[in-house]
Amino acid sequence: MSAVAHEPRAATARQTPRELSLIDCDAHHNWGGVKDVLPYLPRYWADYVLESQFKALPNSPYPKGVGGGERVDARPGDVGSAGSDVDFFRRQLLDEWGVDVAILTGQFYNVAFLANAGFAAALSSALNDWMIETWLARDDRFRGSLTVPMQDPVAAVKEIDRLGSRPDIVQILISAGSRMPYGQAFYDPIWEACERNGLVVGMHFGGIGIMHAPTSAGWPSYYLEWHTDMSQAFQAQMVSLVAEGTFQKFPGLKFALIEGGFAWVPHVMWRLDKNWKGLRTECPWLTRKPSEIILDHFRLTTQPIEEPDNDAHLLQVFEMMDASRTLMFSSDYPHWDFDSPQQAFPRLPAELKRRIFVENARELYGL
Amino acid sequence: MTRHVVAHVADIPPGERLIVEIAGRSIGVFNVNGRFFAVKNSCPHQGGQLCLGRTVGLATAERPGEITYTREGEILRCPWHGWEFDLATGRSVFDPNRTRVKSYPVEVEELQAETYPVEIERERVVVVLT
Repeated sequence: MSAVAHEPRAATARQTPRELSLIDCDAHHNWGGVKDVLPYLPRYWADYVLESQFKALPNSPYPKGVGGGERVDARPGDVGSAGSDVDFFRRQLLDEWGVDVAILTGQFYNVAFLANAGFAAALSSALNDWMIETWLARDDRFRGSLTVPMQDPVAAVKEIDRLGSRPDIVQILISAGSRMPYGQAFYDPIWEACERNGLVVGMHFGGIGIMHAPTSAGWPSYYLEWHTDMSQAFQAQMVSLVAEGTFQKFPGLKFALIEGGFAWVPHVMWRLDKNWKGLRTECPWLTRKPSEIILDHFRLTTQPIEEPDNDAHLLQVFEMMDASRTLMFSSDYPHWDFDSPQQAFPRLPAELKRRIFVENARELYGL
Repeated sequence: MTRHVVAHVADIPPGERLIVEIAGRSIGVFNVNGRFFAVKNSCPHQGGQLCLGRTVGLATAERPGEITYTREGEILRCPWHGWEFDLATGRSVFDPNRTRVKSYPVEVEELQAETYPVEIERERVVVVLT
């Protein structure tokens, strides 16, 4: 199956300049079940799946209180989970909203939650080949995110080098929850490979299984809490990556923080800058304000949009975090907390709107 | 510009500092390996008594994890929040152009006209208020 994956498809349409009006940075395609990737697995791992009756990737320990986590109207017919039918997905997301480019985000970064790194590596490759054939080959508006086994940086680098140069692959996708903060040297080979292949690191809401709790207080009881608290994991990763000097090591590296909220960004920038003034001797490679590094190397997606009672407060947050540089629209289709590109935002100045809905993502992903 | 004799050289051995009051201003006079520097005893951050802080070296790093430590004794750290200042210039390490503490020129002058039978100290420290 990898023969197909090795051959980048003719990408002429992708290279034709065109006027873009809407880029969705978080569109979750889905499989119909592990059966979809069985043909892409080596025989040993295919049999492992069958013998062990492995059915699904580890998922959140929280029954999701709305629609099982899905937009109920996004299920294609009586069978199949939301996001698993390519044509339905195209109609309901791309055509209905006029999405010019959708960054496919699946939910397959969950392979990193498995304890067995070899299985995670095999599943990653199978999922990537399946995505390329089943999704990316079907519509020029799709761009792919690579699934990589974060348990094993050597295997992750191998997968990044196998597929990372394809024009339809724009990033790797990892979860905000991790076994150790992402700035620590364990992960450096992965970042090096991303930089070398021109891939963004997409970091998405999530982190269970062998990962730590999303809060330093432990596992909360309710999905309501988990969904709210997840921004803590994003903050810890951002601080770690800046403090450890990841962007001095890999100056071309960029992170897209997806579904982690954004109103916390001013807090982190201010607090980190303040602490750096007194504590910079611990990290003397930080020769400029941490907030400048954040603004240069991190982008954030909008969904789930913060909804203060007063719209003006949201616009103030946009100003504080320099949203005209840092913020990118995302819908999270087809999940229950989907944001409509037409209804989710208060009235925005035209230039800012263009930056959020098109330009920041276009520049980040080279679209 | 006024000149103020503040101490004999022997009063401030290398590595030590003397906090003096000159024209109502609290000023720290530091002996850094035989060179004398003076800075205002107030941190530009929140007004902590800067000159009570430790004198340390300068940590830099070309690459993450590769730290070099030079200029030992030439950097003054505020005892409150740890902000670092270059004693030679008053400039902060983190933002040398915009965050500074007032520094004053210091001279060491020879005693010339004193005719005491026994001269114990031969030099004295002069701070120049600018």
